[in-house]
Amino acid sequence: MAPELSRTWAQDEPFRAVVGLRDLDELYAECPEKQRKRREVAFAQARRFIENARAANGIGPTEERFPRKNRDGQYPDARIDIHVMTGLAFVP
Amino acid sequence: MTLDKLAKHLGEAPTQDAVRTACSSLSDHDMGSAVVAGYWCSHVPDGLRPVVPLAARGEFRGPTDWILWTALLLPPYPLDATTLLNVLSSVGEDGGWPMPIAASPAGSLLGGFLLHALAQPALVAERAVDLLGVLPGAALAALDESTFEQLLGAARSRAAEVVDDIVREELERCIADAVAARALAPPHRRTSALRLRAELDDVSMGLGAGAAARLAASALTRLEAYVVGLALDHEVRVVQRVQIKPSRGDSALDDRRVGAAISAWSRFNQWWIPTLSTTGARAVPTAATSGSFRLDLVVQAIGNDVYAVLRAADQVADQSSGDQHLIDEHAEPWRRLIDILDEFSLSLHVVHYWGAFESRAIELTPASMPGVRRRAAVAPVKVPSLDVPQADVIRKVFLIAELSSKAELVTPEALEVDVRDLNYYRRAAKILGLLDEEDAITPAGRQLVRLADDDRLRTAAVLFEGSVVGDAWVSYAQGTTLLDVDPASAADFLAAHSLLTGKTIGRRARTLQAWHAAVAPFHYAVRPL
Repeated sequence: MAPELSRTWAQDEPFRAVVGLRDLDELYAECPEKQRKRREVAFAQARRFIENARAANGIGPTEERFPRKNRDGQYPDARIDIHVMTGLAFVP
Repeated sequence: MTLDKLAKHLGEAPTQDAVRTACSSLSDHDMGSAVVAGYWCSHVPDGLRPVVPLAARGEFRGPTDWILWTALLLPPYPLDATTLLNVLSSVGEDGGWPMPIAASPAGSLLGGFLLHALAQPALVAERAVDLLGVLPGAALAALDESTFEQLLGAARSRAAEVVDDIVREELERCIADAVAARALAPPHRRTSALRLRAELDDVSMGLGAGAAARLAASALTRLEAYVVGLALDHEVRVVQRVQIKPSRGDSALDDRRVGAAISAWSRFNQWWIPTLSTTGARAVPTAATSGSFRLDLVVQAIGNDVYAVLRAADQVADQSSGDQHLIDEHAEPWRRLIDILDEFSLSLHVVHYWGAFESRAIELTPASMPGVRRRAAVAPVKVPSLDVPQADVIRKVFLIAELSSKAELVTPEALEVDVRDLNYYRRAAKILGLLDEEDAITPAGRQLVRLADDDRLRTAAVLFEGSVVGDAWVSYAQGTTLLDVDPASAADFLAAHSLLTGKTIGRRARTLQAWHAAVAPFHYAVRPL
């Protein structure tokens, strides 16, 4: 199994949504085709989450897991997690 | 570690980690849930607040832990609803919902919280739609039919706003999942309000009187009030808690005194709720307990009316303790209430609860009531129109007293006025206290007719000054006697401080000016040259 793909950030300024969306696109590109298909819903929901957070002027510490609901026949490990440990993320 | 020590640690916890550790340790105690709930309902620093639901997530599932879950779901809701949505989502997913949460009021409160979340920006609203998809049937079955339908309607409309097909379809699937899960769930069994109150009482007694009890008290008091107003739907009612105590510790509260206090408070409610909140909400008695007599009333307001009632309740609390003078419309109801409490030597303590919100207390005690009375007494008086004369010639008013003293008929001809004016002159004689309400001459009237003309005017100066309208005019002028009044101010005074309107103001102002001109030269404060 491939190692977990991830992007991290640690900075003084609030993390911008545009950078988060770009990171998400890069992760999508790095995924093999099979993994992408398994995460189709997760990627769409994660993208929507970042866009919604941007519309709300960012979000504070949170742990979000995508897909929101594991359905029968899906792979429970095929997830995307977004953790905001501290500060503000996905600001416009 | 004892419950009291853990409560102390939680109350003083400076960091998120310290709060989490204290909550975790408290989850091992039967009554730890009430302590954490009390912490949540008290003034928790913003940075530490989200830790409480996170700490509750995996650890509070004992028989009395509904107390914490109910407290978490009481309005007013936290500004950041996301944390609570995520926590509920994980509780739903890992099977923690059925007990003890489903049978408690938390079940129906969930409906109110979700409706609130669905009205928030997309970041929160869509998370609430997602949550619908993972809630077990038992949780959804606790919602009444109407609330569930409202939830579905709101969720569908939020899902329809999403442009991305994958995300929108997933939201729609969550809504369909909720409908299916509820349909398959066994009927919901509610716990009765009586049983919930008994459990709260048991916990309260079990906690004793130490640090744990003190911290838990803010949750237990609010939950008890919430349970008093428990309704079949998701709405949380405003509960008004009225405590009646004897002012003197050694006197007993009998039915006569309690009845008088309840009746006086009921009249006061009928004034302030419609007047200050401008809602049509009514207060309905719901429960009463002995000891210092306590009466709980539900103020029947929902939606935005709740906020109007709570704002008004705070205004009443301010009036009971502030230093602002009370305007006349407000002063009179206060005077009536305090008169009764004074007469029956009673104190009153009133608080309004709405979920986790507690209003400022209305305290009427022997120490506070004189202040309210003072501020009510100095309020500018709105003079009733009957107390403002419309009879320009004051000597003709004296003539009425003179005729009455001789048991002679008071006729228009005798006064050289028409029939209509005769009534005004008779009224003027009453305003000066020369006649009583039955048209009989008074001792003051008899005294006046014994006097010569100038002395009559000297007496009339005092009578006018001491009449309702004269007294209000002197107060309006911020003066001491009638001589401090500017006659030209008559119309402005009547416009501001009487119940007169329109042209009548000018007509009666002329009478005030005429009387002032007639009696001022004879006023007792005029120094001879």
